[in-house]
Amino acid sequence: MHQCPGYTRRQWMSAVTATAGALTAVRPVLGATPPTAPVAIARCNSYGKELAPIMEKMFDQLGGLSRLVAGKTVAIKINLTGSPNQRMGYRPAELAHWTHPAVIGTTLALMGKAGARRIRLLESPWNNADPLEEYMMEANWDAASLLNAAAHVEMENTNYLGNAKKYSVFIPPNGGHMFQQYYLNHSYEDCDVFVSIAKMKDHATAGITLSMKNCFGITPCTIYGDGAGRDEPSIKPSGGRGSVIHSGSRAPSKIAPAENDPKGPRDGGYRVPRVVADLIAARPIHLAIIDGIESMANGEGPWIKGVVPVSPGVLVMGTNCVTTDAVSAAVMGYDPMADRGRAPFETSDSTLRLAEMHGVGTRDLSRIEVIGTSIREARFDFRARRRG
Amino acid sequence: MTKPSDWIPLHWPDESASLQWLKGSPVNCLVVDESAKPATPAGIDVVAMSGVESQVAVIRKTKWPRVPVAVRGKSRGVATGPTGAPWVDSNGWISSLTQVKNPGKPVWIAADPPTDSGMLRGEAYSLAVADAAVYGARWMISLDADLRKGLAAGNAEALSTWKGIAEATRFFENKKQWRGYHTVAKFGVLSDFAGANEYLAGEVLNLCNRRYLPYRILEQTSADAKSLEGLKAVLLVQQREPDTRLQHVLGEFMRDGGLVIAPASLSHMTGPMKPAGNFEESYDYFSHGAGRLAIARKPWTDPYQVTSDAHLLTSRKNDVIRLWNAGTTNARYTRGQNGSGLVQIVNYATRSFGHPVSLYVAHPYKSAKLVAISGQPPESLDVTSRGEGVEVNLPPFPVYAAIEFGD
Repeated sequence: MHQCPGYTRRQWMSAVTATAGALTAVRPVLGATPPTAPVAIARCNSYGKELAPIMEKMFDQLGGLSRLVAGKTVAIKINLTGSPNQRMGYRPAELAHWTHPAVIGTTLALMGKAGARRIRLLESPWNNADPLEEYMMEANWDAASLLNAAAHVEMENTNYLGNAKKYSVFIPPNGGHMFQQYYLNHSYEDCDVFVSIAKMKDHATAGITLSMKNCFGITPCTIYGDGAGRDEPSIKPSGGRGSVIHSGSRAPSKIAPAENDPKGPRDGGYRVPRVVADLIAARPIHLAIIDGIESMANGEGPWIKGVVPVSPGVLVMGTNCVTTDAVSAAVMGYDPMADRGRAPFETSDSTLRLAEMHGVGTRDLSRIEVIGTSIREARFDFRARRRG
Repeated sequence: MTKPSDWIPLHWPDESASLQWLKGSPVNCLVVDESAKPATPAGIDVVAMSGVESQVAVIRKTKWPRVPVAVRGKSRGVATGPTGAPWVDSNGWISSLTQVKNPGKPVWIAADPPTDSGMLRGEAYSLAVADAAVYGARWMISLDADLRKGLAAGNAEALSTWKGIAEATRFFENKKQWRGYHTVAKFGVLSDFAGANEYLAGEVLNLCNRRYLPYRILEQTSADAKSLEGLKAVLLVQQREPDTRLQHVLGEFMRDGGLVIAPASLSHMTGPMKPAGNFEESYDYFSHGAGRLAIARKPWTDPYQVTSDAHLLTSRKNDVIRLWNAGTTNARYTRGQNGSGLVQIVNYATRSFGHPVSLYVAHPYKSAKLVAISGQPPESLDVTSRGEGVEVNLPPFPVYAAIEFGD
């Protein structure tokens, strides 16, 4: 069975070496040709000692962390989807559907070393307003080791108003695919750099879930959840986002605008990718990190029938979430140019295409520079595992 | 005549029948209504219900243990609690509380099968036996009408169901030593469990079981420094100010590093204590020695919220057990004099889970074995170190699993 690492700050720091160079954050550019940015791929077979030097090398390949984070407040959205007491078989969540604490901790340590002023771990845990640390402990994580991985690490549950007096408003380009504005926890505004650390997985509704789909969870359920208040946001979140976002059977709390087309499709495969594309265009991702070392195929969590454990043994990183997810999709054996009807988007629209339409980045592999391991060398066919 | 503490009771309603099928079963006490005189095998005490209660603490305010079905309009589904997790009906908390209120007295659960379900499956009866036994009580066996008729007629299915009930009952009687084990807990609930406090305090105990938050029951009249030993936090479910003696006990507990969680009505308990921040804008902290007092800002109305807040105030870092994929279960963690640990898990769904259950215990045990009602030899389980404790993976089980841990 997997041994969850309980690192001290000293151990995190000793696991990393000097970081050189600088990453360049990509700003979304609206226009006919969506921007591109390089994507780094590396083989990594475990969350043990090999992880830190590999991640450090990947950051270097992208230009280095310090120019991105030095002196900055960094917000990191991690993926802790589902309930902390649910597992796929006997596998701890981090070996199946959650981003692994070793990937998170190594990122924190490297960012601390690169001079980040403050780093905030963010997630909207399912159905509650518990402190994030407590939520992690329920899954048997050592939350203290993450808080100690660098100086000034904090956590916030963003599934509700949290520590602010009001929600922050984010506006997607072009009026938004689904909503004109999104009301989010303040943490997504109170940062200089926004990072998405995702798991490489299939997704029952959206085809795949990578750095962009990870941000579906930045929407607070006090406004966009099943138990959200009709007029005002609820104080605490309850339920998931099924009724407001997936099926559109109800509107968000009136504090937030109703959807653009109340008569539009009620199909989750239409709606979820559009909301995701809106969110990542409104709240740009400066750094996308995909944990594909241990994961699951055929779905995003143990609640999906037919999920199977997989060990792709790969990490993918980039400064543009569309190019990073396009390359990751290719690593998973999918064609990032596929549209609805073709794998992995048999029953959904392509978030990659919708984000491209917003001008966030290109999904065209011919325009994306891949650094390190090639897609061919890293390829791990998720669909083949799904077929058994 | 058998001692009341050794009575293994079956309640028989006022109907004539031959009960020869009881022969060879562990049942040794037939509890009857006043005039009934059923024909019983030799060696079984027949006692009137009215004569039992002076010798046994009989709990009548019970529920039939199960995952209740909620009916909404024409649809039926599993009832869920505030977390979305399935609700379960269990008598565990009231068994534990009744034992504290009646020290030394045997505790019986008087729970009759639902009348609208026909003949229940054997697993439903095994669950009734386990739900009482795990928490130190005995279920006063009570059979549904179809089963009684089937037994009288010598029906094979009925006899098989009865055999299962007898097997489960015998299993727990053979494990009597487990009743002497003490609950492992870092959290205590202090109350008089009566009057205005009765409902909230009881519901808190019930919900603690659902959260796998083991507790020590502290009756306000008998709580002292010794009864608080080893606890990290005490939830005070008491609307009125504790008396001077108890205030002193709690003061010492906080001075030594403990946390006392109190309702808004006791805000004057803070006295000269220094404010020390707040928890989620719901509780104000005050420091006292090495410990703290947490006072609720608003009156408590929702038992779920009180329990959930108390768990978080205590912090999950003090969890003594954790379970995965175990949504329809309750679990009890106890330890024997010799240091061996015992976690008993009761599955109110009476069916195996989609994904198998894993269990974490916050103690570095070296070995674990699974003990089942079926009488199969105990099965060794792999123990994996995890943080300061260990994890074990359990094979599927429909109703009950006991995991014995050794150092």
